[in-house]
Amino acid sequence: MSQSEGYSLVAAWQALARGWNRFFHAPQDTRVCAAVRIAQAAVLLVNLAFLYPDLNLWYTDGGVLPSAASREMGDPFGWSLLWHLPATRGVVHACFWVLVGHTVLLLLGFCSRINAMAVLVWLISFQNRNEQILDGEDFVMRVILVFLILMPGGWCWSVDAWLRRWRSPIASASDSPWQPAWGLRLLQIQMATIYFSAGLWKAAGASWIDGTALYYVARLDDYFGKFPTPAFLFDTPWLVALITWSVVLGELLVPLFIWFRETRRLCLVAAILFHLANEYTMHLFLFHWAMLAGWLAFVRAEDFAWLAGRPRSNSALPLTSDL
Amino acid sequence: MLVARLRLVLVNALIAVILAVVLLDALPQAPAALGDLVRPLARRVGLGQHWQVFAPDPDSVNMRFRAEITYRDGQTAVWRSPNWPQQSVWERMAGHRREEWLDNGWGQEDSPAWPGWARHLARLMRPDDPQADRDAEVKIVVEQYSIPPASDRPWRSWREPSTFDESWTLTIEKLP
Repeated sequence: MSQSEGYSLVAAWQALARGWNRFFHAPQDTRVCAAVRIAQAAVLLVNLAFLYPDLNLWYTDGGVLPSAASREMGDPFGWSLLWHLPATRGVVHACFWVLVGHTVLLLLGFCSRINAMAVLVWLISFQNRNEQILDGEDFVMRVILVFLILMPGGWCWSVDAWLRRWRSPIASASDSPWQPAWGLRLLQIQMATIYFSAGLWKAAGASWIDGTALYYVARLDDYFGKFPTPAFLFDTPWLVALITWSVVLGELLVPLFIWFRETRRLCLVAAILFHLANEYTMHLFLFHWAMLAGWLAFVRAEDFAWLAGRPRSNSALPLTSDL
Repeated sequence: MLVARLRLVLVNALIAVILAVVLLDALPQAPAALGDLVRPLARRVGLGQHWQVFAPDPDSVNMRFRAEITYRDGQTAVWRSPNWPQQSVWERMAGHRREEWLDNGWGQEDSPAWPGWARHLARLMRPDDPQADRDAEVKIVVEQYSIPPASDRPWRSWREPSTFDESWTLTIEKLP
């Protein structure tokens, strides 16, 4: 068909459908899903370990925020199982240990999707019970859990996989780590969206545009100054401007170029270095570790071979889902 | 075959809904009406999100809290929030939630959270008295340091400690 005759709506729709199906439904390396599951569960357990000493303070009626006050100041669309239970020490501690139990089972990969859902329900319940102690990592942990429910996180490196092999010891094609994993694709989109959204918000701020935003960030004494950092880095205007603009540029470009095979690894390295540098200089609790757990969604098996200086293994399927 | 096809359609519909919820809730340029439409669902299923990390502009204020407690017997006590830069990395990790409690609450003058916090502080400063909070009055004061505008040159080094020379009363709680 010549272009002068116009494009076919049917052909365009079919091409779109093919692209959609190839992107979302082509087999993915489920070892990546397992890595996200394990990393996310580990971050959650560290979070819970730090929360434990203050359970009575944050969640009981004898603490700083009685249940009624929590409901009054909470998100109108929020919900919490804890609002429907007595806010006593015994009940709160029991709920907490149930959450820990589900998280350990998620880490081990036993009934992975069910335990991801259970962890999500309890995590939301604890988060909404006291929203005033929440920070960025809490949102990251929550959204990653949603996608862990939707992906085959227990297909590899899990009790689920061990049980599957134990039930049918004869190896079959279904044992391949390459399985449909549209939940992993959604997590990739979610991670890219976090960066892109953060970049867009910053691009609307005068201090990010004039290059002074990090002058202010470096002087916020509840965040900045975790480990020794040279003074000149944040006392020199042109250096501060350079770092400020590179943050905005990185947050806008990484989510776009991480989808292309030529730039994926570069973007991944940039994101990892960005988070590690922030973790070094700033007190942001587990935010960067939760983000790194999410960025694992973009890792491929051959990246480990690349890191080790070895050529790509032939055991993997062709990367049919590459863009 | 029909079941597989139906399953694929349902999965694709679910993917499309999730994509719409994530993008409309997260992106600042999303039409407000559509954002408002998906927000209740996003919040309920755990996909609620906002990523205004130090944006659109970072805060330009450092703050500390001070609580002046007057007990029913007329005695007084003063509680002060931690001096963050003097704490170790470990103390900062362990105290992260306490820091967030203060950071998220400092601008809320009529928060339902303050009576419970005032009660806790009254008990904290008199640990031997289980009824310490009864009839006590707790005045919570915010001490703050405004970071000079970046247009003021030369810049004060980021390592110089803040001088908390401004203060204002966040709340006065008269406990029953």
